[in-house]
Amino acid sequence: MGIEGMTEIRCPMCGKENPPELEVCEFCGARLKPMDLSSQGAGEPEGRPKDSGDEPRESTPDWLARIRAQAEDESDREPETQSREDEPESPPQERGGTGGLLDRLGSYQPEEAPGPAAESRGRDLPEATMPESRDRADRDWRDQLEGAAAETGEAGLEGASREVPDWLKSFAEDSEGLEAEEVPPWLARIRAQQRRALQAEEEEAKEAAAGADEDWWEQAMQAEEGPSHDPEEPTPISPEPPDVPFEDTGALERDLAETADSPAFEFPESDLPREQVEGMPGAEPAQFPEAEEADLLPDEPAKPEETPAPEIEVGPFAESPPVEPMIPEGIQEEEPQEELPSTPPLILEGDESDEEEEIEDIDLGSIDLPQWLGELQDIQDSELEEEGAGQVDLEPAKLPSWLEAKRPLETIRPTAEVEPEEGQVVETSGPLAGLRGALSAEPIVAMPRHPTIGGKSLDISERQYARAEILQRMISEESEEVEATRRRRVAVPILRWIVSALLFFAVLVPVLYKGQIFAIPTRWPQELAPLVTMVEALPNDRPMLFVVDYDPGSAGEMERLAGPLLDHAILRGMPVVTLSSRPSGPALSEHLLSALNVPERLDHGDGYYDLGYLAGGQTGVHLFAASPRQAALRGFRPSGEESAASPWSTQILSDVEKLSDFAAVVVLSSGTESARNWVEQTGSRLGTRPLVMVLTTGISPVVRPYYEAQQPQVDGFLAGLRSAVTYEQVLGGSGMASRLWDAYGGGMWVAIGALSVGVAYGVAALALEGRRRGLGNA
Amino acid sequence: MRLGIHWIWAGIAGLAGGLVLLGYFVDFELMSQVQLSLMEVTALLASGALLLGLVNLVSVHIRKVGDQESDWPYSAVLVLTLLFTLVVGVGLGPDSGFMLAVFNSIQLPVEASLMALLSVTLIISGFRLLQRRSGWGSLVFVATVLIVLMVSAPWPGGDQGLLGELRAWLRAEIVQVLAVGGARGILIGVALGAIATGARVLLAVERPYGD
Repeated sequence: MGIEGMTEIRCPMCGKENPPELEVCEFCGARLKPMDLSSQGAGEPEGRPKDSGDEPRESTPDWLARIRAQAEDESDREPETQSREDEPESPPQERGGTGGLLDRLGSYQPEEAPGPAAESRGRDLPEATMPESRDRADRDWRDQLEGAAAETGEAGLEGASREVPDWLKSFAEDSEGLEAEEVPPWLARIRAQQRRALQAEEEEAKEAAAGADEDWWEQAMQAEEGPSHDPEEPTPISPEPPDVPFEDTGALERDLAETADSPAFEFPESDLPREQVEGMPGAEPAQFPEAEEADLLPDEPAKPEETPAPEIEVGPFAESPPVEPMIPEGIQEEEPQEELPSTPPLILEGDESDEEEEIEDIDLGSIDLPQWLGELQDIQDSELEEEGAGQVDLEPAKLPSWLEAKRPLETIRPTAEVEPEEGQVVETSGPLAGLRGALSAEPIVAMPRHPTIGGKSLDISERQYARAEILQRMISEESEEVEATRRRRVAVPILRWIVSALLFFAVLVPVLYKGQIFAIPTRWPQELAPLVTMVEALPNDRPMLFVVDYDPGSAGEMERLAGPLLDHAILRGMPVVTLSSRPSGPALSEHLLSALNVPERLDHGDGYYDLGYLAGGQTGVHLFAASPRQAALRGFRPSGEESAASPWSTQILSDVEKLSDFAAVVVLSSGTESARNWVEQTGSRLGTRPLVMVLTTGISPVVRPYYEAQQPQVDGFLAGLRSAVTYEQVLGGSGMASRLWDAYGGGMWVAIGALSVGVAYGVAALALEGRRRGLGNA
Repeated sequence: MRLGIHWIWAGIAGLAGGLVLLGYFVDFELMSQVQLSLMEVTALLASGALLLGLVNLVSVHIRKVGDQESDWPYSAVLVLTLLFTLVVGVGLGPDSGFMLAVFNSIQLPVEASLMALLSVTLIISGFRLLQRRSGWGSLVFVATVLIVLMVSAPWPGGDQGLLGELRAWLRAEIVQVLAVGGARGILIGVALGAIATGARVLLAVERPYGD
């Protein structure tokens, strides 16, 4: 279309101003001057293959000649329409006839769809970004088209395309009036896009109309008039276009116009083969080089959600299947050879969308696939739907901060960084040869790593270990079975209290009672008479040694036992010397002497003397028996008298050199060991001096064998309170022993009574138990 | 056979024991002097051992007090009283009036009371014996105790009469025959044990002084 006379040409694609001499937009590469292919029949562009469609273009049919003539007449009659035709932003409603219809068909192509579809319109991709090979092919192709346009001039189907019906003219005028009014920006943008698309499609339609084959057009018309097809149903593709004669172009145009205006019209999917559809004049959106790539893939039908109906005024043709544009055969053959090398071997994330869109742009339904391949395609579609339905938008898992802190560094795998496409290596061998960015297994698999399981021992501090111990102890204590603690019953020792009270009462009452409860024994013990006789026979010029070897607990009994004998010795005028092989002996000696009023009756050092403690136990006894002066070096002097003098220098001990120098040795013992020690260690040292044992009732059986032997080692024996009481009776008075006789008797009988009750109770219990057993056995 | 140092100690112990034992059987002056000398050393060592025992006792109870072991207050009382009596005894002398008063006012009544409690405990034990451990042995034991007590206890009527004669006879038979027979057996056993132990020590079979 010639636009001479104007200073600048506005690019129909990008809307920018270009110098009038340019054929192609310097910004987007879109063609500025529409190519009139109506004159292609007169002359072929250079370089065009001569074996493809030469014959139809050289012999112009009659119907085409009529259309051209009519178009020339109308162009002369309607200059205003032509000027509007030159306006790039003119709405599609301005166009009439077949060209307007085809423009509208092209306008419903997915405009917003990026990628090849957008490139086909030359809007988004500038020429500088095109690959060099593609650019070279496009330029050749453009040169051919420019040459053809120069030969054909402005004649052709332009005039025919400007045939606009009256009703459409009024609608276009209304649209112009609306545009003059103030429109919102969003609506202006939509309309601008719509105009650009329509303009591009208009030019394509013009070119297609010029180069359309008569047979193809007739077939397309027949397809439109035929029964409607399911849009989902794939269109069979026949290998060769059918040879259908074209009959009436005017009637066809009228039918198309009526069909397009009908709101309930649904564009039927053509049953024509793919090659025929591509050869349709109106199906070729543009002859720009950018459109070649898009034309290889069928355009995706316009989606309602992508192009809102109220804004774009999507007509019924939006649902129409894509119509393959007519592309010169030479270009069609060259494109696959040039496009395949440029296909990226590795599809990255950013390219996946393009690839998917390309895949989506391919109308698989229009391809006649074999039956087995169609079934496979159905299965894949169903699987994809299931995967899509099963996908859940899950948020990536995140480790807690404390767990992330404890995570060993070795377990953190290095993040695989995807290199840009330029930096990716092209696979050179194997089935993936030629692919770029194929994942190489070696860097990850062969990467040396530390084992993440059980490779290290737990490194904990002492404090943590102590806490772990406490925790483990707590857990173990919780798991342990706790024995039920028996609640200790507060038992009142009634029996003890009763027995104690009875004993106390039995002992206390006789002491308080002045009378005699129990009769004084009149029967002398067997050993008492020899003892009394022996004491009477002792010389009174020699001291009598009293060995105090009893415990303080036995003092009460021992003092009563020793009392009569000591009194007997004092009565006879014998000096009394005390000695003890026990540490508490000297004090007990003093207590004994005090109990018998010896200090009041005798002078210390003259009538009595305490040699004190004899250390060494059995050895000390032996030493004392061997050499009294060397064994006892210091006497017990409670009054402080004769502190500096040796005990052996006193009058009472001055004549004592050895053990036999004592008149007699009287051992007061409450224990068997001390009694035996004195018997065993002094036997040979006493000579003819008697050894007298004054013992408690408890140990008397142990010592009595020494007394009752054929060669007795003990010459005198006095044991028990009964003997002491009897001894006192012999001495003719009542001493301490006699005063305890009633208390002693009372205590004994309480004990006898308690034991008797206990025995009776036990015997009864045994009898009852035996009776129960007897009854049970019976 | 390796000659160790323990044989030296064994030789010394055997020699000393043999000399002391020989002094009992040999009436020889030199032998008696040697025996007495050895026994004096023994007595001296026994006194030192008593002192060491006293120190050990104090240290054990002081540790118990420091570690707050069970019944540590009793240990504290023991240590305090021991130190008190030790200081007073060393200062004033064991035969001082204060020490005698302490003994007569504390130690003597306490031990006498313990002896009195022993009598109560024995009575209650005899009372419960058949209930806790029923059997013929227990019955015989308790019956013997009752008999001995009855024949030993003063009777209100005295020892006169046939009953008195019977009690005297029973008492003599039980205390002077049965009990003495048992005691003799005990004494013979003790003597045999002492002879065996002495022989083992003299022959260095048993070494209480250590290896």
